[in-house]
Amino acid sequence: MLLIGIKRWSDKFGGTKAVRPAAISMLALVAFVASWALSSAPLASPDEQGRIASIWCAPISLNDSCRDRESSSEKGLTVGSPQYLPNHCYFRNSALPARCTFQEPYSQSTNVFSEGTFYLPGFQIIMNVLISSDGEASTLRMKLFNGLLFATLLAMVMLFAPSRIGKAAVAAVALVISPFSIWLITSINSSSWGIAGMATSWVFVPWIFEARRSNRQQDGIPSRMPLAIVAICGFLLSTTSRLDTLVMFVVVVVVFIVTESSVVRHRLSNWRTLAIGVPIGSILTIIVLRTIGERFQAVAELPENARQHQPELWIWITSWVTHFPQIFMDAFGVSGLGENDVRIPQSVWILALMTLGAGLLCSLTKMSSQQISSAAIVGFGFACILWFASREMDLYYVPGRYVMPLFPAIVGSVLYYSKSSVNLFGQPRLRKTAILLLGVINALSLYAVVERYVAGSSGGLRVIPIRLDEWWWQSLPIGPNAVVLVGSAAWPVFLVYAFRLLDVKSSIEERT
Amino acid sequence: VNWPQATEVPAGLDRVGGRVRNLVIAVVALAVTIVCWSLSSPPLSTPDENWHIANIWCARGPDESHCIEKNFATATARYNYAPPMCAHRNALQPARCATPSDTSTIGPLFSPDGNYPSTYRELMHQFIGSDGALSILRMKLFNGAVFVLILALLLYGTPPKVARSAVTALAVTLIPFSIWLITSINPSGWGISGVFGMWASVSALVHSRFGKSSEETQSRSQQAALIGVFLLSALLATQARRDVAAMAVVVVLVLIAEPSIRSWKRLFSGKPLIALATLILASISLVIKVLENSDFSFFGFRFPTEFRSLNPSGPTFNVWFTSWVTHFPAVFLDAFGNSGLGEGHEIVVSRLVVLIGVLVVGGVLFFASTVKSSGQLASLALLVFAFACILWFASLEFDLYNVPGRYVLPLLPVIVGTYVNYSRSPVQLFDVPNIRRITIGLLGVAHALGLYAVVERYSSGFSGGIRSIPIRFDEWWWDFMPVGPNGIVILGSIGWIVFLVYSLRVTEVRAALHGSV
Repeated sequence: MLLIGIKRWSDKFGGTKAVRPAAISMLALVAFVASWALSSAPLASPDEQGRIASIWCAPISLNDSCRDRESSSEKGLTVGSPQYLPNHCYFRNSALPARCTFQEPYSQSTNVFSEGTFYLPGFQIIMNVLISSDGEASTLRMKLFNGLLFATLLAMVMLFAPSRIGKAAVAAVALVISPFSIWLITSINSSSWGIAGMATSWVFVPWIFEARRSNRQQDGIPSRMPLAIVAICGFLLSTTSRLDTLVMFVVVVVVFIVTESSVVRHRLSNWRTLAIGVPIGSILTIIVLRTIGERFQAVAELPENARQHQPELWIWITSWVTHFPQIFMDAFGVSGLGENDVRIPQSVWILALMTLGAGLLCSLTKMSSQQISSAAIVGFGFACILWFASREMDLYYVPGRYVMPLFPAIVGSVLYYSKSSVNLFGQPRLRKTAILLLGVINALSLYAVVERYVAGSSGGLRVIPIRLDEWWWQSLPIGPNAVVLVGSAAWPVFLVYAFRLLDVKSSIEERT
Repeated sequence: VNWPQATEVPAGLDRVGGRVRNLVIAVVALAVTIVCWSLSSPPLSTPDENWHIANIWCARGPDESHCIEKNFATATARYNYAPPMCAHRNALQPARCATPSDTSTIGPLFSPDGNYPSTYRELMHQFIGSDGALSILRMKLFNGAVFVLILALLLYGTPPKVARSAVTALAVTLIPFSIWLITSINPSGWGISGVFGMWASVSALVHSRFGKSSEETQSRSQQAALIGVFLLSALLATQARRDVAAMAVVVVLVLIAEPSIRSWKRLFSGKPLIALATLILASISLVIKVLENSDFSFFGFRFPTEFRSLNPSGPTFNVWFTSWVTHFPAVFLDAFGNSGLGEGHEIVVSRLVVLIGVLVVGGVLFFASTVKSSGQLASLALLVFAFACILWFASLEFDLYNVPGRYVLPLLPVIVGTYVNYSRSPVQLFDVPNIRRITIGLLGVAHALGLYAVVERYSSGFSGGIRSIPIRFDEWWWDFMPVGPNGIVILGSIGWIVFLVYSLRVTEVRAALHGSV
């Protein structure tokens, strides 16, 4: 079916030269997300016991997945007792295999993320549809579904969006998605939809404007259906997962619309605007939030060894401004994955940041005023971090996953609006080097996750020793080592063929 | 590749006059930066400084003025200076919190045949005066001045390509830890200056010997400058630490071997590359196996401490080895202050400094990768050597996760510089005007944050943010100076940016004159 679809697409958009890279990249992408979906056990992602209770005891359910669901009027919480109670003996002890023989479940009843929280019920209701009598198989089905949803959206952007947009979107995903984002995308955490939606849907605004410009030049009208699907899916995924992601989606769309306006395109003439705009925007944001936010606890928001001070406003602001970029580094597994018990090798984040740095610097060889969009989203990300900090955490403990949906949009807009003639994935040797490094990053991360949830973390690399009762997905024909190998090979293969496909599309666009 | 406009000679710039002016401005700016770093911290601030003070004060044995007693049996020395210890390892305390009641201190002695040769402490001993803190400041300024001299001679004498690689490597790896050590009384400062000077001078001499362009032939004065740098650097590297001497020897050997490596191009293409990588890994494994099971002497010198087995009753060799391979790059992050600075790592350097450091190094390496050359394998060889050094340090008294980065810091600029120097990319990171501005801006921010963190911690105590440092007279160490801590941060921050701008201009003008960009 996939091949037939690609054949039809090639007749209309890509030409015969694009069929092979399109088919191979799609298959590799599916293998990649499937490997990540298989990498971890139930209860692996943050707060997953609450996710399971929320899904099994969703507000609308077509099955008997929930034993009991009741609201507590005292605390305003809803408590659910799902039929599926996963084994938790390995919980937060990374040296233990995840499927140990101890059978006591984590808890008979758990708080449900529902009314009164910023987790919206849409995600839970859809996931509830995928529940069967086998709890583990149900979670795997959900993970695969979420992963394939992301793969489908990314494939649509690659296949149907103008090649310049496609390249920026794929490059942004390549640079920031592994390991934390892809792990969350292929999980049953609500953030999955938020990241998947934002990583692919930011392109639809530039896509609309490119389509409009193209219409003015040519008589042919590009197909609007894929564009509409990407936009609607992005909106739906964002609006049904987390309330804050919905706000992020709206803000990002507004930023891109403003960026595409004639004021930004033609009046903001140089990059100095960015240099001035970012600090001013950030400081204004802080001052406003500081003024209105009664819940900030200044002492707790400084580094631990400076908390004896009662800082002045200026110290507090500068402390936050110089620290908040670190929060985005969680995308590269700096704080570990899982309930912070999967330790990712340090070389992963070092290589990832070096590759990201090279990508960004290449795109800044010739800047455009429209790159102000990424500065605006960074400023908004900072405001989001402050907002999260004002809820229950201080800055030094805001989990990076809360702002991770913004990361691909930030990087993507820098790459898309660059006027540079050179980019990281455009020059053959740089592309090879970048893909090699991204492959290593993904392989090390995937290995760390799989090993931790099968045999327990060893700290190094080895052929994962597996006893039958330690492997979660026994009904599958492959074991954990094969999952690592397939996932590790699939990611670079996807990147190689995705950029080949986009090169072919680009040359066709130039001819026409 | 359609690269953006590469740098050109600024219009109307007088060639000789422009070079001299840029060189002078760059050197003066670096000198200002170095002075500010020397003033940034008081006695006892760098790692193990109580050891170094004791050994410097008693370098020539007991005398009436400086050293009271030197006892090798107990490995201690009593000397006539008592640096205040009250703020030691407490970042919230101003460093000058009280006047010590004692006039003398007992400190630990280095073993005469240990890792630290005596030349360093004997030379530093010359700077001791009646005021202990001032004596230490004199030593710091001297060490900083030696580094400035090396760089000035290099900028004058090296061919443009080597000069550009050297400035690039320094720009992205020096701040904040290396520059702080260079302007300290820790022998590691000499190690960093020395290995870097040897690398740059030998690279330049090899480049001149094998350079194809006759326009790159150097004048006698330039060659003399390079030979002077080599000799001075060799003195520093061999007399700083014995392990640094070994590093310098290996660096020189790799550079000398590089032209031969280059001629074996066939060896480094296609499958033979895989064979080579396998060979390197196998060699490392063998070295580790040997280290694991034996006591190990080094150039005839033996550490007084016991060697630990690297993997006592631990996991299988494969797990252990791969764990180290995937972790060891993090040891280099100490260069960016990843583990904090100061005696007890109590100075928290903003994470932004670490992020900018890694990001910019990534940019430099990727730009140098657009057209690779077999000569870049030299930097791979140095990286492997650095890994071996880390294992060796770990076998002394640490495990990998606690090997201090300063031990291998001398190799970091050399690895980056070698990779850039042997690259055949038509344009490097600093050649593109827009990226150069952005990168200098980022490095300027990182440097300012690093310098501020150190100055603030040692004058009024760490605040966690950035502020105009409130200063009481008794909290500032160098109260005879016309500038206070805020002035030092501002001057140092500006000095670093000006140095980067003008040192790159020096190489830019020379490169354009030689037509080799």
